[in-house]
Amino acid sequence: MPKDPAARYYAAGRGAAEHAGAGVRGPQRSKARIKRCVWILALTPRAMPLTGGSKALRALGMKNAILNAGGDLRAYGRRGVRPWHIGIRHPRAPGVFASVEIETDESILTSGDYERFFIYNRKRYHHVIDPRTGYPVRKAICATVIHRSAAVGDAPATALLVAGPDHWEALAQAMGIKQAMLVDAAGNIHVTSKLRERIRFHVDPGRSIVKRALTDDERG
Amino acid sequence: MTSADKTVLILALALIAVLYAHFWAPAPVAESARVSSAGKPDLWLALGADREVVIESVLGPTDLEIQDGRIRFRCAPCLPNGVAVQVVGKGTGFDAITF
Repeated sequence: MPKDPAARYYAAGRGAAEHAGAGVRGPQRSKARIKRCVWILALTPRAMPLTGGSKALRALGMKNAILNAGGDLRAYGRRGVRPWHIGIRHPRAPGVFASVEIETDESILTSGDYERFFIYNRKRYHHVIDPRTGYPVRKAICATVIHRSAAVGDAPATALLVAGPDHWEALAQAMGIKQAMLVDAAGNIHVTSKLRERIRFHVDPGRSIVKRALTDDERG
Repeated sequence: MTSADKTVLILALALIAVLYAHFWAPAPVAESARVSSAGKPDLWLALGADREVVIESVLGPTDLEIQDGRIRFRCAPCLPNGVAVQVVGKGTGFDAITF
């Protein structure tokens, strides 16, 4: 482990942010820039095999399948007489904390801080960098997006994680994402109304689910 | 027969029933298999329908056969071909987990 991983993170994060043209002093609010960044991020290694793989399997005559690319999933068809039943991993405990039934031909994509990280001075250093600070995202711990296109859904999941609980709704609206969920650093679950209609929580809902759902007007 | 004898007899019968259920009950039936191939997304195959599936992997095509709820390697070019099959039952209740 490097002597000062925090400094290395900052240098790497700042460099990546400048390379992407996002800047490190405040969020970019331009829709055009957001869309451009989304398309850049969409070319991630996890989205491409999902899109190409499903086409290839269909060409082979497979009518029902789930493709799993590093935890990002694309499902089409059904499992016998029922839809595919997908669990969403708990970000801080073994098992899942929610699940959803995937309808025909949908992708469910998750980005979180728990797969690639290390702890240094009691702080978690993970692989999702906030371009505004150059440091790992702190305000949210996982985000999930359901979308018909894996290429479109993969980037927003990470983008919503970076946006955090204060800005995720606006960003989801700008990107046209209607089904999304975010877990903030305090463990509160934020979910859009569209996804809330179909998601099933396996944790005690209690006070942990925050209904800050997008309204119809907000969704556009 | 005293009441103590009856109690012992009932407990013994109950124990036999529990042990029978534990050791001789029908084994759970696998529903699907997860096929991992080097460098490719996992492929989930339902075991309900008999068929053959060809997986392209490192050294060439691997033939998998699904029959009577079971899956087996029918033909593979050589080892290591990077193909792994995991038979999955009802355990978690989920077909896949996103993370």
